[in-house]
Amino acid sequence: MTELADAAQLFERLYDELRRIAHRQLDAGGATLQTTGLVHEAYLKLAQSQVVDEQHLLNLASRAMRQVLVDTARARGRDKRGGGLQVVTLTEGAQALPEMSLDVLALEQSLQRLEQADPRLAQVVELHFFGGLSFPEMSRVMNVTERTLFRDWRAARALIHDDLSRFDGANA
Amino acid sequence: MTAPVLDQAQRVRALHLMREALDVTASDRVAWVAAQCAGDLALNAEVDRLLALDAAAAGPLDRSLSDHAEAGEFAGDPRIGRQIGPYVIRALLGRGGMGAVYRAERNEGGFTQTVALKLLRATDPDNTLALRRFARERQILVRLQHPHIARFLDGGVSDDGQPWYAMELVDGATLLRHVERLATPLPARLQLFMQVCDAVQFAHQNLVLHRDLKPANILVDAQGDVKLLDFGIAKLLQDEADPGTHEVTRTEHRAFTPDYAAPEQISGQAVSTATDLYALGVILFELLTGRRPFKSGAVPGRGSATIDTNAEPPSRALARAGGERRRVTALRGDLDTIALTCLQAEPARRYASAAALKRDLERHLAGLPIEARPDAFSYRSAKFLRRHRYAVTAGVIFALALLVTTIFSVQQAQRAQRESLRATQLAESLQRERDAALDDARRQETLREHFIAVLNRATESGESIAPEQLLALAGDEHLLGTFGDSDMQTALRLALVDLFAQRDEWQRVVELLDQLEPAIADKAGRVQASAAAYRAFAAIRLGKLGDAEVAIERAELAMTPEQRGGGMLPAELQMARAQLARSRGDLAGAVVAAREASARALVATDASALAQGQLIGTGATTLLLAGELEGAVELADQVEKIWRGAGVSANLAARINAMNRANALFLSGQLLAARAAIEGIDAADATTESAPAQSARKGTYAKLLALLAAPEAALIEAERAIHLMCDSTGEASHECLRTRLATIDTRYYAGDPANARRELDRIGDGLAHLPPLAAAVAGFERVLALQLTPNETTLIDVLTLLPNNAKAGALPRRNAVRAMLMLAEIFDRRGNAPYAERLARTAIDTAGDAIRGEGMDPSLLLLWQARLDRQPVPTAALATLERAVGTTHPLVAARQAQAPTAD
Repeated sequence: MTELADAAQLFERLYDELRRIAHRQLDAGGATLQTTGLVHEAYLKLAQSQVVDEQHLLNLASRAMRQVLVDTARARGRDKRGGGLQVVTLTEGAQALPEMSLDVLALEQSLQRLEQADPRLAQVVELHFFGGLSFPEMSRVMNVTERTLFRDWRAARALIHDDLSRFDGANA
Repeated sequence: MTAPVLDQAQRVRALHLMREALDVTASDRVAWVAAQCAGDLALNAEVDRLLALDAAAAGPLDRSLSDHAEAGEFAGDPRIGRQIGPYVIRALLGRGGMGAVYRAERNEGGFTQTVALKLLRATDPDNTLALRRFARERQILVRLQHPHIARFLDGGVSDDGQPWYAMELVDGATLLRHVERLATPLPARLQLFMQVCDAVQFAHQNLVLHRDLKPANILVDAQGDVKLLDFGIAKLLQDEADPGTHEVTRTEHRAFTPDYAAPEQISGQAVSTATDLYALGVILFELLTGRRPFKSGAVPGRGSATIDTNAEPPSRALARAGGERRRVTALRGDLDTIALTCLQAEPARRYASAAALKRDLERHLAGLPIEARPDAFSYRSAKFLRRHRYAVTAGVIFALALLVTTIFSVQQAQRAQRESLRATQLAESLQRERDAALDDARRQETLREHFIAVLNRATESGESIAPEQLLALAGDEHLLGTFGDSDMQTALRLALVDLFAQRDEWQRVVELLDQLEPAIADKAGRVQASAAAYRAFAAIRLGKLGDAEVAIERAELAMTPEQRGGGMLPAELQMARAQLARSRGDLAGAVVAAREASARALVATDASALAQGQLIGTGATTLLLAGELEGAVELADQVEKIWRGAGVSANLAARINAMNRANALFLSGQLLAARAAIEGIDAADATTESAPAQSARKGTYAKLLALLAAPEAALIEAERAIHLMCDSTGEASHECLRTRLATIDTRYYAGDPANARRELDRIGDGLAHLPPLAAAVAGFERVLALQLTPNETTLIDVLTLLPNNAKAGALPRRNAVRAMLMLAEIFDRRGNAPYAERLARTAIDTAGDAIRGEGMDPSLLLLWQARLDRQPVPTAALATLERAVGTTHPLVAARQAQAPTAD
């Protein structure tokens, strides 16, 4: 029961986080109802899954998040031909360095490569980046020391950032 | 792809080692990793690389997902589906600090064109800096039409006021992806890279620096053609000396991509074409080795202030990474030298141009010895110079340019010294020389136009002040011929043509064009059109009006419809038409054409503010000479605004424009405004001004003071004008005599006709053989005779001669009218009302409908008309006169005394 309560709490947190973002965006005058759509999609995917324990739920939630983002990006028309290949680095403003913005599909490709090389590294990225879990939380879920997880994260981060800068947003 | 030579097992092993290495003290790490790798160089390199990446600056994973969402990266964009100009936005391609780029489509006649459409960020429409940058980028792209640069297609402003432009959408992969995916062999990689060199060379020839060259900005399309993208932080070379653009430049300084940035860019020093050459070197290195050219362990510049200036040879880098022996051997020697020559820390040691870099690659592929040498550090030695004809040529021209420069000013010389030996920068220095020459030429023009305005028309050209060294530079065929690149030669020759045009050396212009035109028969239409435009201007100045007409037509034909539609070239041609009309005596036609030319120049996006102002300034001059004084003031104001906005208001050309404005105000009778304008010019530092120009201004100022009832000051300024001119050109020179002649009316306006008579006697017969001046002398003779011996004969003489001269075109009508009005005032003050009224009546008859406006002459005409009609003083005319000459002026005071009783 406690495990399920934790799971519900964690999901709640994820959900709240996303809603908060949506609110802030709407307040700022943006037209970003898609973000709430994204949360509902995540919820649906979670609800369809058999939630057995915390680890499973968090993995699922993180994975769902990743999947939703990838699906959204694909649906947005970043098709393999044309669209995704025009590389534009709008580097005029120091406030938004191009390296800081995320190409979800390029990240997905990089993650898949990483999964082949070292699945645990990919899982760390999924939980930490997509799931938003802290290192202590991950340590609990994955039963690995925080220190190890932090090193894993650094290795994964290095590889992915390298890939992303080389992909240059290209999406072949 | 991160390291092509690694297999999966090595990758996994590298990841493990990297994680373990993180627990080792940083200082021991390198040794520890080397020990663990036990001679596996590829593995060792990969671990080093991962550690370097770990230490590198932040990336997208360092921001939380919610931050990314908040930045709108996952949000649907409300602009998708919207119509912008003729395009419908389909999908977001990329986003940045300033705006976003979309895939957009245009549907016309069943044919769909897909483009990349760039829009400013929606929340920022009022950001003028962003707007300016956006406009600059657009302006840069417009001029860069090249097969290897993504084409600019269209631009405009959307319904809600957002500027946009469309460019070619390139369907392809980035350069590195392309070669890695296809495992492109080395020679084919070099061929692709040479296309990049072509594109960069073209940009440089158009005086554009890219400043952010990197693999992400270079695509290879489906046909295997390279396309260079993203001139978002590009820079126009000629803006260098233009303080108005500093704001943009400064904020752009940090916007480059550190891995590809040259040391001078990272340290914030001046960037040049050599900066792009450095980036080309990094890209070449990466194409050759699959990695970037830094020594182990450091990713310099990336978020840190470290600057690596000692890249290792590509062959060694590839060997360390475990590359195949065959591939390593292929790089050793030439390719090592070529890449390292690009990567020199000191800009002057890199290749002189992208064309030179390409040439060495060609030579390498053809098995010829390359021109760059590994011993480049001894590049200063005479031996090296002999071997490097480019460097020698540029050096010689540089020295000559310096020689010329000293003639203008020390400041110019210092600027020239800072210039590197790059050929494109030579073009830049020529542009500066031209600007300096422009100032001198325009000064002479002002001088001449002063005389034209005052004494009808002076036909001889002023004394030439062209430095002989400049002639030598332009005339040295051999020197120019050593530039191997024919485009560069053309650009330089056109720059020289322009230089001579600005110096009024029109015969030289024609000679240069005679040499140039056969050589450019195969060049772009724009080049041919430019040459034809110069020929048109030269022909007009040399009096060959038929030739001018032919040249204008040829220029028209050489332009594409797009070029004809906008930009500086059609504006210049229109101005040539204006000058042609003026030369043919069609003043009305000249005015219409000059106005249109100025309007076109005002909206041209392909010219510097200096060039825009220059052309509009010519328009102001044309209107001034055609008597369209209000229009002249208006255009001169526009020029001033453009130059002030661009930060060039402090130069000599601006002073000349201000003098044009002052002359127009003076001629239209806005005396107070004219005086303020001249005093404003005087307040600025005049130390670099030539004596003739100062003299011309003093002469005008003296006349103004006389008309404004300040006789003592007027006579002093008149003497100063004479001194300045005669001391510099000689007592017997025509210029000196003309200047003396121009002070005659000043003297009698100042109330001293005897003084005027003495001065006229002094000029004597010196001007008798110059017909236009002789007419002026005769006019002054009669005017002075009337004042000194007033009788029916002398009066009739004046009343006959001045209107007749005006009718015959020997004297501008305004001048004749003003002379008679002033005489009327003089006689009225003497109490000779009948003479005064007869003079005024003739003035009114002579003026007809031609003298209108808000100045002194129109209001005096109205006031006299009322008096002759025995009507009360018209208060509106009196108010106008007050504005023109001031409330305390005797002209006003005398009438105010009558006004109350008349009311």
